[in-house]
Amino acid sequence: MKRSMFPIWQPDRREYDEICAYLEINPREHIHRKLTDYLANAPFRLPRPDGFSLYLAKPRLTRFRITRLDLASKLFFQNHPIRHILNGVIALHECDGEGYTELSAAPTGRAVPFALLGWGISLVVSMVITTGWLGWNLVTYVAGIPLRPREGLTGKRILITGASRGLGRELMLQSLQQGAEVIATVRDHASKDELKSRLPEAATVQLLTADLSAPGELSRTLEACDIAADSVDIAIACAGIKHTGASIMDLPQLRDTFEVNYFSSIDLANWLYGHGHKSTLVLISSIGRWHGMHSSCGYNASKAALSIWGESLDMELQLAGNHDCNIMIVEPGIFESGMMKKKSASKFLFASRQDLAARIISGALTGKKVLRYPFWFALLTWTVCLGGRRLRNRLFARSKRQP
Amino acid sequence: MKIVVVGGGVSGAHAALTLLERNFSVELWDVGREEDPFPEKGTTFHDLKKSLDDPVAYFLGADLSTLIPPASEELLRYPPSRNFLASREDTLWGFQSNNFFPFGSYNKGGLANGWGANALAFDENDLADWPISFADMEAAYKTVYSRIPVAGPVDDELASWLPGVHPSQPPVQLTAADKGFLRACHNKKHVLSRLGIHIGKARLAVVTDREREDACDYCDRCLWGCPRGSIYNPVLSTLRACNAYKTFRYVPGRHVLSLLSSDNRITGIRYMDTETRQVQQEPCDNVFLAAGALASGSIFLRTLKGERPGISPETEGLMDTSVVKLPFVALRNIGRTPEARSFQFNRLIMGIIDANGDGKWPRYLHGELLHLTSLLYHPLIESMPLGSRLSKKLFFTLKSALGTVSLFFPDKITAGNRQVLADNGDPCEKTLLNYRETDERQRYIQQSVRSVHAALWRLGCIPRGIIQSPPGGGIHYAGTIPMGNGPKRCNPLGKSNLFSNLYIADGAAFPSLPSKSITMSLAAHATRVATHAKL
Repeated sequence: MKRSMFPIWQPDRREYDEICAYLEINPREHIHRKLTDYLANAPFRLPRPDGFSLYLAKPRLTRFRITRLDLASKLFFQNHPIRHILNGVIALHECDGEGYTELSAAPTGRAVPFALLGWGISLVVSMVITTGWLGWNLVTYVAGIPLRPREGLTGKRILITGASRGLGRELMLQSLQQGAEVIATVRDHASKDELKSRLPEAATVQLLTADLSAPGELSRTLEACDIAADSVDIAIACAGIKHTGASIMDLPQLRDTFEVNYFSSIDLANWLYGHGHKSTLVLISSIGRWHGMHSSCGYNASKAALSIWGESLDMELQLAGNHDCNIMIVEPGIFESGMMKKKSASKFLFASRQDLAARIISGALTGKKVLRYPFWFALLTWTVCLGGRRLRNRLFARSKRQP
Repeated sequence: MKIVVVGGGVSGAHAALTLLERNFSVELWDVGREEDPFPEKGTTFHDLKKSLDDPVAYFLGADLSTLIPPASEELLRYPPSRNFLASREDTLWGFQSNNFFPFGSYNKGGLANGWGANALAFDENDLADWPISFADMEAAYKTVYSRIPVAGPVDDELASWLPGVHPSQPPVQLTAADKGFLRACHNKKHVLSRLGIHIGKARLAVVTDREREDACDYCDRCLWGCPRGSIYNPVLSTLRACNAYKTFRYVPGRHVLSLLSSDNRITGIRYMDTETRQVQQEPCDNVFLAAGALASGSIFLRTLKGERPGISPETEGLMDTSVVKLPFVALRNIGRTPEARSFQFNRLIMGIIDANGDGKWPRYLHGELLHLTSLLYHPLIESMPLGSRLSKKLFFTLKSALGTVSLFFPDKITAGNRQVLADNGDPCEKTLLNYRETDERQRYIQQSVRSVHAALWRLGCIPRGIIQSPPGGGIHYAGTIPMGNGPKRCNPLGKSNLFSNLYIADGAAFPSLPSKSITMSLAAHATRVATHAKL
């Protein structure tokens, strides 16, 4: 997690290698580590890029993109993350003996005028290509504005349960990167310590320990920490467990599943709306709530209950005139998480966790009621559901047998 | 008789040594923090990058705090390995200001731990506003030049404008680029003379005599801390000479806050024990204030508040030289391979001299020619208006040709520029530094910059940009208890006009601040005050 915690700011190893190739220096593992640590604090020290600058910052850094962004950021976007990344790489390499030798390689004597001429020509060529590239990106940026998730959590306070891994952690990191103050709950002290050690010191996050398998533990913890419900703008019930391989007849594990996946969300809603406060509650359900599943001890059942309960709560709140309260139900398809690992045979089914988190945040900000992402996966699921129980049984049994 | 010298910098060290030579017992009170030792004697700046275990932590700090971000106005941060400068978050830090940004040190040796080594003496013209003449200072200068080895030429064209400077060491070695520059100066001598500009080898407080064990080995690490102790530092020489006297006692861990008095005489010192943080007091018979102009000013103002509540706790003056840097590219040096070893600080100096004496003060405006070596270059590369790849290629091609002329503009006591005791309930009572740049000095700066730019063009250099340090960035603070008439001043021998046994032995006593570097004059003033004090 330490690497690329904030991908807009932190190049991963492959991107770092590309940057080094661009600067004509050799990559060094220890320097990449220091660069990663340095840039981990960037979201909290530096102004966040937005608009077109942010749009340009998101895709992976390739040699071509680095060349374009280097020039474009010098001319137009002076606080673009690429400036901090390139400046950091040069600063760290110049402190290294061999790094400095590579960095400072320069023509001498009579070679200088020829080199200057060559650089001048390459600058002109680069400017022409960069101008075309920028123009094309501007067009795609403007064209995509209506479809793009809304971003910007500056000044907002977000509560996220289950932040130690998977989607919860991703939601926490993206919220932090977008300028939110985050209250995050994790299951135990070991998870809290591990998470704390990896987050930068400046991160605006309050980590709480709450074992949600204990009834009422979440609200007790929040009250004990003097967190006022009206100070929270968005609460995301993300904590969830799945007892893989366990039968639905295993009552203790079934109770455990429902306690974490279902009742803790109700506990959170009671704490949030108990005193008439107006916030957004995001319930992370699952597209699996539309069908049964064996050997996961009622995971799908708990998510079905959560979706139905969430919809009911929304109805009640609307009926009572609480139009400013929004209940957003998220039913994601398959994505890589603590529960699901990508396998080569089924990897085409997996959605990006980063994209999912971005859409959840965006949906919460815009007052979306239901998010099913990717939507094609929801269509696929409903199609399978229409095929009848026999088809589902055969299909899911086969998927369980796959290694 | 108990004599206390307050402050362990250049002034304090020379005042103490002079008093010891007069057979008095001396206590020198100081906060007395000590700097970490400098690593790897003999290794050059760039070789250090190969030999240190963690060079990144050494050069940029373990938390990379000296990595300068893009779009920053800063081009240089003091290396984290040098910890002699006090942080503004330091609990002892006693200054507040919105428009004056001072540097200070609580280390043994004070700001002299990081000075630029330029060793010039004020002349008659420099001292025009002082109630004393050069003749009154000459003996003290001679003493100081005998204590501090100074490298430099004896008879170049600048020598006649620098009376009182007595080099005892050969000049520092010049690089090929310096020699080329001097040749160009010689060829354009008449043009430069018309502009009033004279260029010569620097006068530096550096041991260059190879016979001496502490001679400079040109490791190019002046800014990073001279590992051989070749650059003068009071800790390594003057205070060491003091320690040879049995009648000397160095007392660290004391942050002097104010003085106690009775019948116009100082009777005691109120100080904070920096270990226990307790405020204590101790009797004494004579006090020499040598904590630096700003700290001495603070002590004096707190004393006024406690002992003379009828006198407003604000100083008569506050001065600092204004440093203006003029970067340039010397065309003849483009593509030149830099020497592996050199002296990092300025090897050449420039005097802008008003030879006709048409009333301008001071007649001699001091400049230092510096080439870019042994720095961290990322802020310079990032400040170039091209992409990083092309910027770094261009920068390293031009590096040998890049230089700056630093001009030091003088200051005078000006109405409104002063130090005032802040009434903020702080137990240590901070002082406010009120300072405003004068229009007159700005005009002087513009006029001088035009002359220097013209000279640089004629020497085959392309000047580009003007960087003026903010007020307080000159680190030549003076004039908080200046010589003159009135209760908040001192007499020409540094004795306070208010307290008969209080001596102002540092730059606080300077009634004006000439352009030349002040360290030798600080030492000479302290020596003169200590020599003539009637104890």
